[in-house]
Amino acid sequence: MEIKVNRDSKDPHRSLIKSAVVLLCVLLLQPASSLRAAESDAILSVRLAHHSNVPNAADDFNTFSDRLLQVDYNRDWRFVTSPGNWFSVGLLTQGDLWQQTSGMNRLAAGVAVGYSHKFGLGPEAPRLNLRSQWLYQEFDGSVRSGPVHSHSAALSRWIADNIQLSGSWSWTAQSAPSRRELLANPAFDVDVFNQEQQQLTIQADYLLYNSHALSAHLSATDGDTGASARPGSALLRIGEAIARDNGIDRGYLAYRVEARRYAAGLQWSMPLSMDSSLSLGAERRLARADAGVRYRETRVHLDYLKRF
Amino acid sequence: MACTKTGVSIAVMLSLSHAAYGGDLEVLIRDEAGNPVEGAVVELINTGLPQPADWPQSAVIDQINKEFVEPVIAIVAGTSVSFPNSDDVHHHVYSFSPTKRFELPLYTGDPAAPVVFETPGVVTIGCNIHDWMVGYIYIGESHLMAISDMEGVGKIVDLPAGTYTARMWHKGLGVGQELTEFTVEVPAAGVAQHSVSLTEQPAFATRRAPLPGLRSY
Ligand SMILES: [Cu+2]
Repeated sequence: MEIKVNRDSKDPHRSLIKSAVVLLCVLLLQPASSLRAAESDAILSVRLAHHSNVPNAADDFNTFSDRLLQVDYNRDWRFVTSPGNWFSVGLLTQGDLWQQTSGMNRLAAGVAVGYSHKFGLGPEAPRLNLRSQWLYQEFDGSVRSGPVHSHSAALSRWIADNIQLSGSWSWTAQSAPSRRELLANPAFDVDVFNQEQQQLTIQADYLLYNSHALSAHLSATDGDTGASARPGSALLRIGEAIARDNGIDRGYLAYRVEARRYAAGLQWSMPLSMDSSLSLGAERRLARADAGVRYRETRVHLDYLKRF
Repeated sequence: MACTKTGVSIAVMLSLSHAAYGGDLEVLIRDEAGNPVEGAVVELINTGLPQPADWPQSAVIDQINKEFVEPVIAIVAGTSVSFPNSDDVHHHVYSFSPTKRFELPLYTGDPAAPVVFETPGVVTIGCNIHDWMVGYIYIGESHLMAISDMEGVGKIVDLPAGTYTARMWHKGLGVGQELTEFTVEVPAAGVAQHSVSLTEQPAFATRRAPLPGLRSY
């Protein structure tokens, strides 16, 4: 068996240097008055989630579910440069703790820069948000470890007093440098987690009189995805890269698969105070790859958010 | 409680300016369920009573913790209002209301000049940075005004006996239907009480509490 991939493993240091330069440029471009009146927000997000198909397995035999705790602590500094224009820089820290799949436990830290523009005055004026972020993530099962960066553009607008529509596009790339020591077979290529995806999302938020919010979203993602299964799976026919998956473990192999993934989700969110909220959401995902291979997953999550 | 303070201060001012008169007016404002309605403005119109020469010609709406400290104020036409910013971040105060359109773009500390409200009516103010910030300025034709407190009571004191036409406004009455009028009898001494039942239109408030985003990886 031969799986041929000609991808260079990306240098994580190059990505970090690039982000530091962008950050510095954004800061240097700010007028002094804008820097002095920078608005700083920190958001703590604690999520309890259940994922029905942790390995993205294409068949019941390899599918298993697990619960996880996700804790994010992000701090943003926003600089209003002129009416309707904001620049922001942010520091991001994230942690995932799985109940059983300890190889997927993850710590990540990184930076973000953003620009927002509001087309006019008032809450109903449309908004454009551009954001880039660079993270370094370390998994207990190191095959996935490496930098991940993304760029996104989102346009949102309140079309009625209580209905907001938004559309966003994002591009994400992650690289996990080749780890020859993870080879299950010398013929395998281990660049499974060198992946790129593009995603389009549309979301509608419906606000109730008590400020509870109901949200629905649809998204389509095109590009690479990682799927894992025990040897002998249909993924072998379409996998562009393969490695022993020390994140999932249990003898699983990880494959990089070219797939189109669709997701639909619903969420209900209630404010607990001016700056905190509790939300419950669910998302159904379906991914289609070549040769009729597909996998499904349902994710359910409960979120507590607190802004400081 | 900010409304209460304003209501009380207007009542105190009235009391000082018309010490020679005797009758008081208490308007009790309730919603359909009988709950007190705070922040409603009661104004006596066409009274023919002169405005005292020392009546305040300026008012202040401060901004603290990204909120307007006074969600509702009542001022006489011609009053100037300043919008100091006590936060250490920018605010950008504006109004689209036909009664008075204005914009105080991006400032910290005190803005350059106060805004003069010449025309009677209601002005809704907002901040273009913090969309949840909202406040109301009621600009009266007369100086005889009160804002209902937490008990739903708006009190105007020391009025000459007679029949008055009162006007009431509340943000929950809906655009174009904010003003209701009624007549009240004020005795030479003692308190005249008048109850008003208000049918509040539910209104959406811009949410300040955070919403979870989607992790894209
Ligand atoms: Cu503001």
